[in-house]
Amino acid sequence: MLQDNFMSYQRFRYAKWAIALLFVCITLYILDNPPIKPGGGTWLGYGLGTLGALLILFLLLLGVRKRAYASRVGNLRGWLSSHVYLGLALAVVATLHCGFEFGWNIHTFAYALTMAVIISGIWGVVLYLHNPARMGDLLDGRTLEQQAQELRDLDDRCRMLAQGRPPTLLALVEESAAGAIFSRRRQRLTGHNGACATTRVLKELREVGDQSDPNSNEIYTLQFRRLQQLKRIRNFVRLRTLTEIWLLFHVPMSIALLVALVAHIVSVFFYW
Amino acid sequence: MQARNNDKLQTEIEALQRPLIGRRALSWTLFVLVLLGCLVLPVMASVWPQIFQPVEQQKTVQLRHTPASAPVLNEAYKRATPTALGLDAQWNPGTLSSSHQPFGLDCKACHAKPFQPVQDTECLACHRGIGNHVATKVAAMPQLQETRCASCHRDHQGTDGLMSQNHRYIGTGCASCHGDLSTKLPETKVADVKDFAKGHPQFRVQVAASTTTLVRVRQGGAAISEPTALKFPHDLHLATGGIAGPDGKSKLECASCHRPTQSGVGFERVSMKRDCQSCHALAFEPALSQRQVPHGSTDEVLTTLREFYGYVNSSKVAIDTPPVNGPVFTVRPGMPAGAPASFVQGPGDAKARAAAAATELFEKTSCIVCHSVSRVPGPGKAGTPGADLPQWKIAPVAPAHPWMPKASFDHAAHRAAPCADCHLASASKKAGDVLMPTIKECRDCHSGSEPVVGKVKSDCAMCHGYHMPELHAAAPAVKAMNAMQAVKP
Repeated sequence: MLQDNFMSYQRFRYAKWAIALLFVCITLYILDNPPIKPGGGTWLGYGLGTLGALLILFLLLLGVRKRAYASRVGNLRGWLSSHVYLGLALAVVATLHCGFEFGWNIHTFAYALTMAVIISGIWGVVLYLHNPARMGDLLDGRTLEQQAQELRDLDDRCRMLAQGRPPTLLALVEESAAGAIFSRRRQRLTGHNGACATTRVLKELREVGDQSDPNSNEIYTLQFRRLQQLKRIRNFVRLRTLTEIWLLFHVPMSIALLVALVAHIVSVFFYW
Repeated sequence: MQARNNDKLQTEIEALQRPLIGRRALSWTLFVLVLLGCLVLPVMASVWPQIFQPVEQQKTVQLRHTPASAPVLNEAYKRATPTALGLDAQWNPGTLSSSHQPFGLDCKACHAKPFQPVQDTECLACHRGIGNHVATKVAAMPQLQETRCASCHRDHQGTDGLMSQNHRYIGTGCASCHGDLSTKLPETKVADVKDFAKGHPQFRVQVAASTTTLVRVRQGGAAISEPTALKFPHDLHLATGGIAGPDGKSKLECASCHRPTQSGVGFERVSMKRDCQSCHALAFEPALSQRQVPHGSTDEVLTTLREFYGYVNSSKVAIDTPPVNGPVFTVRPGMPAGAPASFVQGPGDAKARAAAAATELFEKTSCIVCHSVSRVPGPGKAGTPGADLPQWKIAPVAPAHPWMPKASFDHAAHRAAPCADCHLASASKKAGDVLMPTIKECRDCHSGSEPVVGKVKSDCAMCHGYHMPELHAAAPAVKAMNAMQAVKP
């Protein structure tokens, strides 16, 4: 956490920019004494609105930039850093723009979407600060494919150890090998599989296994390692699923916000 | 067996590596929903209402564009044709002022053309004759005429009226022209003003120079008086010891004669019958204290006298009952006393007795007390019984009029202050004294636009209006005078 990450990028360069921007906006808002109620309709309101709209467009551009792998426009970490800090600043700019006036209308709808996206963004920051390291630890530098191959290798070794032993032992090994990582999709959220075949097989092995037989003991040890492996995969999938669910919220809401922003601006000038 | 199991694991691993489906689909769904609901449908309902509305409503919309052909729709508030399904109501940025809410669902009642700021024509459809600040015939002020209504009047700011919001435009906005009006408009009589506390000229008080001319005279020089033929010493009537009345000495207050109107803003006109006549009775026959002549036209007075003495003469009725409350006539101090006991038994015929009573009434006991009375050659108004009597003329009294027509003052709002704080009536000896307060009295309580402890912060709009519709109509002074003359005294 103390190394240079997207939050502390270039000694908090974008945090400083965002604070400077907020300082200017808040000072202007305090000094401004408009002849009508503070809101989007005063000169400062128009100015803050323009600033807010430009910020939103810039924040959305991260979605374009992160897909443009060949782009040389800054590096992605810098983009993400400015995305986070300017996104946080947007919450204040948008609130000052509306002058703390809210209603059941497209304008407050656009504001609510903005705030929803920003709040989800804060959640995203927390996820991205913690999860990548945890996910890396869980997979230990290997891919899921490699993890699966290890499972297969474990299963093959168990099968060989079960040769010439009672058929129940092989049946148990096969049962464990046929078990799914997740038996239900929603288990991806919890990382727990209550119907885990390997857990069940381990329990069976404790009851039917011949403790004097070294092969049987070896199978038990391998199955235990198999379960550890499965748990790591499940935890990894859980963390990735949470991140993906966050994106499933953050990105479509941003798109809705973009359209609501256009509707907000058009409606203001349609009925000027 | 083994291969199948491996395939199963492979399939699951591949499935786990695929990103969660739906991000793109969800994005597109929200994109389309918000675009349709918040932008496309409202725009369509506004631009092509025929898509949503039945035929008869379309006709109403069309009539709105040609109101002359639809007399029923001429009243602007009936033009309101709500947008279909209120689709554009979601665009409403804030609560309309309560008076605009009746057509609040018809955005186009004010926002007539898309992407065009609200035009003055839309405002003036209802607010006819609101008037500019400076009438074109007074001075051409192009920069004022170019100002849109909406430059100052902004709706969607809450239910309060637009006018109350606009106080915030008053002050520096006014001073930007009025602070240096003498160079901007050299021919004007309006003095430069910057702020009520620091840079406001003395008030101009309107007085009647004659019965047909009102002039405005600036305070600060000689005491302003209004030439009037009325005799009314305020000091005598407000004497601390009271004034003699029919029931002995009575103490009068301002409110004894000056009664607030129902709104409390101003006062009803002082009326002879209601406010004066209980003391200043118009009795004419010493032997009959209750009989009075009508107040008003001299012809009617003379006719009453002529008819009364003619009747008494011909019917020989005995009327010399002694007056109940002592002598009928009280003569004004300084006037010769000694009125006759009765004209009924006086010398000559009925006409001579009526003439004697009239002379007494006009020149000694009644009319002359308050009015300037002069004898004029007869005969009187043809066809009236009093035409053959001697004739008198009552000098016209100055008409009632607003004293400070360019400022509004609410007496009800100042009810807590005694009248004498502003009007020094108890020291006034003549009816012609103008008892309007000067700016000094106002400044005792009112500060300017800068707040001052213990004073009321007062911007220009506290007293002054902006729109001056009457300047665009006929000349106000003449109108006021005509109205005065139509009112019977």
